[in-house]
Amino acid sequence: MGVGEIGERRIYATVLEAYGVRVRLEADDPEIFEQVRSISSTAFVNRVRFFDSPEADFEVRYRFSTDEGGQVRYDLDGLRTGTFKESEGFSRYLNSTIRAHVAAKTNSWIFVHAGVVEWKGRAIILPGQSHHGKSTLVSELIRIGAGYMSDEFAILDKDGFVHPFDRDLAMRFDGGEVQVDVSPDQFGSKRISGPLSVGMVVFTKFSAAGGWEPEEISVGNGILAAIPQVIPVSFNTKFALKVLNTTFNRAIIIKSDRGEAKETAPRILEYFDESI
Amino acid sequence: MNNSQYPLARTNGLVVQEVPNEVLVFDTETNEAHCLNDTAAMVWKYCDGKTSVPQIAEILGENKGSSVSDDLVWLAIDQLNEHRLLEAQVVSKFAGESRREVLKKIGLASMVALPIIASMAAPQSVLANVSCICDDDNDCSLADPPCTTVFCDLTPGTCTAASSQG
Repeated sequence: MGVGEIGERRIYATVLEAYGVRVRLEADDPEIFEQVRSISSTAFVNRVRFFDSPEADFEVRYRFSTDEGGQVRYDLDGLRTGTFKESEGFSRYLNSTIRAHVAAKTNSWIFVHAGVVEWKGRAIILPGQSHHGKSTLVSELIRIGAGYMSDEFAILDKDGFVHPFDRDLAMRFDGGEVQVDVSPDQFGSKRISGPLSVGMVVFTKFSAAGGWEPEEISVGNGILAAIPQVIPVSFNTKFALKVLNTTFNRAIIIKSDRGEAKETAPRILEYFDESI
Repeated sequence: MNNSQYPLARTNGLVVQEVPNEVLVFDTETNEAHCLNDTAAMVWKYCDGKTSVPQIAEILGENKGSSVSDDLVWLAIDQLNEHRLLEAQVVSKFAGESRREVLKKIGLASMVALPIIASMAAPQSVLANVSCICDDDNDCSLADPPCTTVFCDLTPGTCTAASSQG
């Protein structure tokens, strides 16, 4: 780790790099620093590297500092502040914010909040927000034979191919809120290394009355529907729209309400087989 | 307001992406995306400040191989106006009429698809899709900046829109 002095305080720092974006992590307590470094090393599965040189450039800065009362406060690049907690919930939160910052700042990738599976050599993307059942639907798809790529992000390169973000699935069971990490191996699925061309984009959300009645929508309306889930769209708009056009142009795009994931999953794959 | 028969498309602050048969427009000032269907896109294309509404109707008609009324072009201009895609505000030709009445009148007479503009808001901040973390409801309302959702769901300790106390 890099160690420096700011004022009278000793600062421990490192720079994490992922997808071309550098995030500086600094703390005035060595134990907190080691915890933060350890947590953040899993932010992008194994696709993170660290620079410990104190002069390393960075685009984003996360600071953890101890106040007079002994509490450790965090400052996430000036966007959020709060109190550091030693909990699994905080670890997930920290990694979520790191991912969001990287996704917003990268010039060469587009991050879409989405589940992604592989079927017959093509990717199926399921855009959706957190707490909307993405992981559950992805788990049911891979349970019946789809390959696993992600339950959180579709990461698109400049040519519109999707790359895996194959962390363990973050599952909530029986409607609960506590997340449990489940390896795709437990569903008998393989992790797909990608990249893959996108065959289908599915906009779907659970509805108590929901029946599966898919309707095909145009590329333009598909991109529009994806906009709330596309992180860099406000920061790198031209590139984001170009990549989305390239990606969605190759795919069938459908939308439908759905019932339980267990019943919906085979219908998604059937629709794919009939259409492509 | 300018009731110009020579409408002018706005360009400042807009990022435009053509997709098959549609045009996507991202307004960087309002952080909104718009999808213009083929008809709306073509009308917008000819809003160059030099082409009149009847001329736009004629061009559209030639392109589509079917007669296009001025009213259909005005319907597109109304929508472009609403979505701030014109340089200057234009007084609606259909003031006093409901959109439904207008659509019925124009739609019945038109062989060309009616102009449609659909819109969607984009996330405003980097952390828009990351829930705030909390131990109680105060953490949500006192967070800096304040979270958009104010109830603390204690498992997993994130701010949500609905009270967990029912």
